[in-house]
Amino acid sequence: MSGSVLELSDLQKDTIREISNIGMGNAATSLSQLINTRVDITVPYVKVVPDVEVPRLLGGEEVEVCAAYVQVVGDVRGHLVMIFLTRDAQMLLNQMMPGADMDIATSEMARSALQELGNILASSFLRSLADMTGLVMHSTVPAVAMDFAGSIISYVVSNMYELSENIMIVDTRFEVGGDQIDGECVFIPEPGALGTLLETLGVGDA
Amino acid sequence: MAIHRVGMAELKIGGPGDRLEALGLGSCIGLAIVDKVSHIGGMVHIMLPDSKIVQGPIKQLGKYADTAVPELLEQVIKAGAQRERLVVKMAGGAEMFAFAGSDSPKMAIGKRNAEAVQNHLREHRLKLSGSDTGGHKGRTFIVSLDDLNFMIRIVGMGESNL
Repeated sequence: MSGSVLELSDLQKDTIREISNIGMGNAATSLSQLINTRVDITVPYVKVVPDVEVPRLLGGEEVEVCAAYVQVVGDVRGHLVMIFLTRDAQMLLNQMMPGADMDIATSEMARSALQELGNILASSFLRSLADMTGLVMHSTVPAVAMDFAGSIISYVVSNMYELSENIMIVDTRFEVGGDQIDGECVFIPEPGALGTLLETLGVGDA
Repeated sequence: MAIHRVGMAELKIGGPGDRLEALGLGSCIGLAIVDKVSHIGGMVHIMLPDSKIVQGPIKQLGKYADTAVPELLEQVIKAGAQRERLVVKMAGGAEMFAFAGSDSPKMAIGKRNAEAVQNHLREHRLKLSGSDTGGHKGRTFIVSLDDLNFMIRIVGMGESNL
C-alpha cells in the first residue's frame, strides 16, 4: 500500500464506500439533531486520485468556503475536511443558534461554533468506523479556516502526496433542509491506514 | 490574448498579452518567470519541495521545487526569453490551518516549499524580485504579460500588486 501506485479492487472500493456511508449517515444524524432540520447525504464517492485534480471537486479553486479540518489519529491515521460554501455556513450557523446574529467572517463565536460542528461530524463518523472495525480512531481538535476551496484542499492533499503519489479520497455531499445548504465532507486515510482498514474488514487481499 | 490556467503541478508558457493564473494557492507555490522586454513568460504551480520521494521516473516536473525551477527556466528560454532580462516572482506557501504541530518542520509544508524554491532559484542564479509567501491565507496569483502586472488576491483582503 505504501508503493507509488495505489490500486483498489471493486470489492475494496465498495467496502470503503459502505463503511463511509454508514459513518457519514451517523454524522448526518448528529447534525440533524443539532440544528433540528433534515439532513441528507449522497452515497460517498470513492476515488483513487492519481493526479492533482482534487480542488475541482468543490466547484472551483476560487470558491469561498468555510472548512473544519481534523486529523485522525490512533490505529488509523488520516484527514477529514468538512467544507461548506461561506454563504451556506452562515445559514447553518443561523440555524444552530437562532437569534445569535453572528457574522461568520468576523465573529469569534461563529468560529467556535464551526469548530464544534466539525467536532460533532468528525466524532460521530469516526465512532461508527471504530465500532465497525474495532480499531481505535480519534480526532484532533478541529482547525477552522475561511478561504479559497482550492487553497484548503490542496494544503491537505500536499501533505498526503509526500507519503504517496496516489491517494484515495471519500467524498460525501450533505444537503441540509432539502437543498438549501450544500456541504461536503472529504475523508482521506493515509496510505498505511487504508491497508489497516481493508485488512480489518477482511478485504485486504481482494 | 490567451488565459493560461496553471493547475496543480502544471507549467504553462505565455506570450505578449497573455495571462498566467494560479487560482487558490494554499501551501503550493506559484512561480512566475517573465522576460520584461519580450513579455514572454511562464508559470509553474509547485506542490512539494523535493522529488526525491518519487520512485522511478518523474512524470510531472512542475510538481516539485527541485524539478520545476530548472524546467520553467528552460522552457521560457526556449520560448524566446533572454536570461539577463528575467523577472522572477512567487506567491503561496501558506499553512492553511493553525493547529498543534502545524508549524513543526515535518508539517509546515508551505514554508518548506517556499524555502526549496528560493534555494533552487539561487542555484540557477535567478534573483527573486518579488515574493508573498507564508501566513495562513490562500492566494490567487495572476500575471498579465500585457502590462507585466503581478497581482495577488486574498479572501477578505482584496487584490494587491506584487
